[in-house]
Amino acid sequence: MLSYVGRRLLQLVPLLLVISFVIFVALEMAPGDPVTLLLGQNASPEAVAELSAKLGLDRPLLLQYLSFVTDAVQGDLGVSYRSGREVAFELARTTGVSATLALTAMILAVLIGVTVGIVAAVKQYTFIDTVTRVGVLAMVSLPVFWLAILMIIGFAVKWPIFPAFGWGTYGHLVLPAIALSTYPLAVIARLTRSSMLEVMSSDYVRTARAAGLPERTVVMKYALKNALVPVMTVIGLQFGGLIGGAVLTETVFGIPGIGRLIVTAIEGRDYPVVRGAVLLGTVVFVLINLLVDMLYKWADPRQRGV
Amino acid sequence: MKHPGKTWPRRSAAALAMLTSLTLAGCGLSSGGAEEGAPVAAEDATLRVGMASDAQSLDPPNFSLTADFIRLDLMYERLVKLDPDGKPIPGLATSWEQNSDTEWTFTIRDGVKFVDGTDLNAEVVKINLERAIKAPQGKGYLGVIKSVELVGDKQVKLILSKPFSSLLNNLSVPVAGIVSAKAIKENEKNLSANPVGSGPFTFKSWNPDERMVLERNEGYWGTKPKLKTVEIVPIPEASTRLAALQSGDVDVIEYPPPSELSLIKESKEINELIEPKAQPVFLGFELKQVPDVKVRRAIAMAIDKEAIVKDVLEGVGSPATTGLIPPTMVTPADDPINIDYDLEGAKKLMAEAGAGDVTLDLVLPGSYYLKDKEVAEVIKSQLKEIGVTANLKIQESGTWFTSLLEHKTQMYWLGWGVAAGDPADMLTRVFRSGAVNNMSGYSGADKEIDKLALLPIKTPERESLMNDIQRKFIEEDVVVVPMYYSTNFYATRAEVEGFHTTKSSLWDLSGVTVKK
Repeated sequence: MLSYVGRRLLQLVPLLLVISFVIFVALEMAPGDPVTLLLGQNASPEAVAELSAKLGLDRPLLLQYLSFVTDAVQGDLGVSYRSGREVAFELARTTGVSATLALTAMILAVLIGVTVGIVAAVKQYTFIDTVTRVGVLAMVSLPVFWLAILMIIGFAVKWPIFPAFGWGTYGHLVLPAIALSTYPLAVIARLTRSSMLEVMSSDYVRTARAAGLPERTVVMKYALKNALVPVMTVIGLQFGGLIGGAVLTETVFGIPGIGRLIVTAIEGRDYPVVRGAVLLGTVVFVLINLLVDMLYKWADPRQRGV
Repeated sequence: MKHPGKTWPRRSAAALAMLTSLTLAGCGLSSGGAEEGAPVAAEDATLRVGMASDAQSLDPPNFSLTADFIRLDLMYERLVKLDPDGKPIPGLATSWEQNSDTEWTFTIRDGVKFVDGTDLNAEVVKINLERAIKAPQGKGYLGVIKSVELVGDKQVKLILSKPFSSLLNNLSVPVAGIVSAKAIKENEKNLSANPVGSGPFTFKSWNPDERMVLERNEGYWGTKPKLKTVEIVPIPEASTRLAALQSGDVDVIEYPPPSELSLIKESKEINELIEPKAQPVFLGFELKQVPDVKVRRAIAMAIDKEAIVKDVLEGVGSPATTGLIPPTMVTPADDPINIDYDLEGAKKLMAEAGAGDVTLDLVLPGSYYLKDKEVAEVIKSQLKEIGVTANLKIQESGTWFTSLLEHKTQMYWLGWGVAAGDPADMLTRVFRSGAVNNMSGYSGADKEIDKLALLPIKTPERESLMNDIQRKFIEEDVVVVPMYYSTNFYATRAEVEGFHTTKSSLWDLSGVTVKK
């Protein structure tokens, strides 16, 4: 297991090199120029030339990339063009916030999604199952930002239970976490339901029932364990989706997270911040997938030693 | 791990919950609700303002954007202030004298202390101006200053590289804010996050993207504000800003969604605040790509700006019918500077031009100014009437601005804020050949524009020259079609009294009270 983890982590190195190069080229090719955007009304040919030189943007791309890699290896991700703050600081101040939001949303999605999926499967073709299926369909189709605004109007303005925006207390977490959890919740519920249905009709479940085990034990102990294996993979993938959802959720709820940092950085062509955030996102995504693979091996003995 | 399936769902849920509570603690979440104190006197109240974006840099001449100007203005003073009519009045300088075309002497105010306890004097002003003329934003406004000389310890003499009559205006811009010399010397790198000024408010804290807190400067030399605290919170989404205002989470917001204006007007708890702003929004032509002046004129004649302002902007803004420069900034000419709406005339002119059906790109940002996309849709349908197909290219703001600078489009959508309050500044930056921001590539009024720098500001001669220049590029050469003059658009809770904005889009908080 250890060598497996080590191997996976080592694979991160070339991956990060490739990704960072791709970002470099993509930012260079994308329209929009940080220098003229920074100078705005004050742009003059001399000011543009001077600032390009100051930011090192007048050097050949490959040279810029090499010096970026050299610095990054030493832990220096550079300084934001806009705020003058260290990129590492910007990432540190936003990552905890986004991680809290994403994790809370994921816990909600898993707990509720799995429960709903099980109930719907056990009560297949009943009223509950129909309601669940319609509800899940609605949740998958709802745009996050629309739902978020609706929730703000409902639970911050009409019935002022939660704050309308911002960050700082547990109350601030409730609405954004619910908004962010809807999509993964629906996906998990749907998958749990179909996976449970498949397992419930398998031989060993029939055997367990025939042996006279109580239905509750059959469902919770024997069926669920196997039904959840594919669900786990989806949970890992949904985490990646949460990063995208966080951009919208954080903007609507005014949360100082990494999604908003990235949006502002892209609008201002703040290259160092964009690079830093994408690299961090890559690392997080790889680590989460690694974690899921390990859970997978743990839950499914057949996967061990593969 | 012999029975992996036995209890793992429960166990991992518990582990996840533990992890969450750790993360929660790690990023400063607390279980406490919003801070609700005892009732406070109106004089010691806190004003909470929701803004569309957060500040970037609080170091006046370094990378401060217009969005930063409001914050800078509360904490930093300049040598010169502008009165509501845009006339320069004493700020940190008590008086000034123009010795020659290129030489000015300023007398520095006595008894002004920075919030770090140091005194303002001529030496501090010299250090600041010499720093500003080398800094990216400072240079844009003050680069004309060649050198700064001390005359005793109460006066500075500014030597300019060329005559420049709007020097006083440019010295009033927040970019020219005077910083404590001690702070520059000891902590220059961190000035962007730790402002040290002499203004009516002093910096308390700033959590980026979350909240900035300013407090009344108890040692302020002028009339102290009644407010004790100002909290500025960035809330990027307009609907959320309005919701936060309705729920009482904030007291004032900028740019509520314009579609909700009628809701705001009906509400007893909320008031709208629409005040003039020094910013025209216009449709421009890239002259090399749309070379036929007849086509440009026909387009100008086919656009019904009055209808657009009334129906699309719902009255937030006023139609630009007296030129590009808002009438609040320059005495309008006797004859309005405008190409009147005349659909039949436009059709005739198109036929005369023999251009047939024309297709032109119009590059615009999605929602940078007010309802850009909606306005552009209406323009598109109005142009259709005269056989011009406007191909709307809605771009993200950074891409849009760069497309304009690179002259990549036939028609463009642009607003221009005149932060220094002198319209000559806009004419120089947008219509003078060689200027980076001359998006049209116009060069027909260079001589006249250059002459503006020689004429003293606010004189009839200078104002009529500005009107002549406008008439040339609007009516004669049809370089741009002025569309509307923007307004500062805010909404406030009824408890807030005395909140006003200036034409340069800054806040006047001097008389603000909040009744709680």
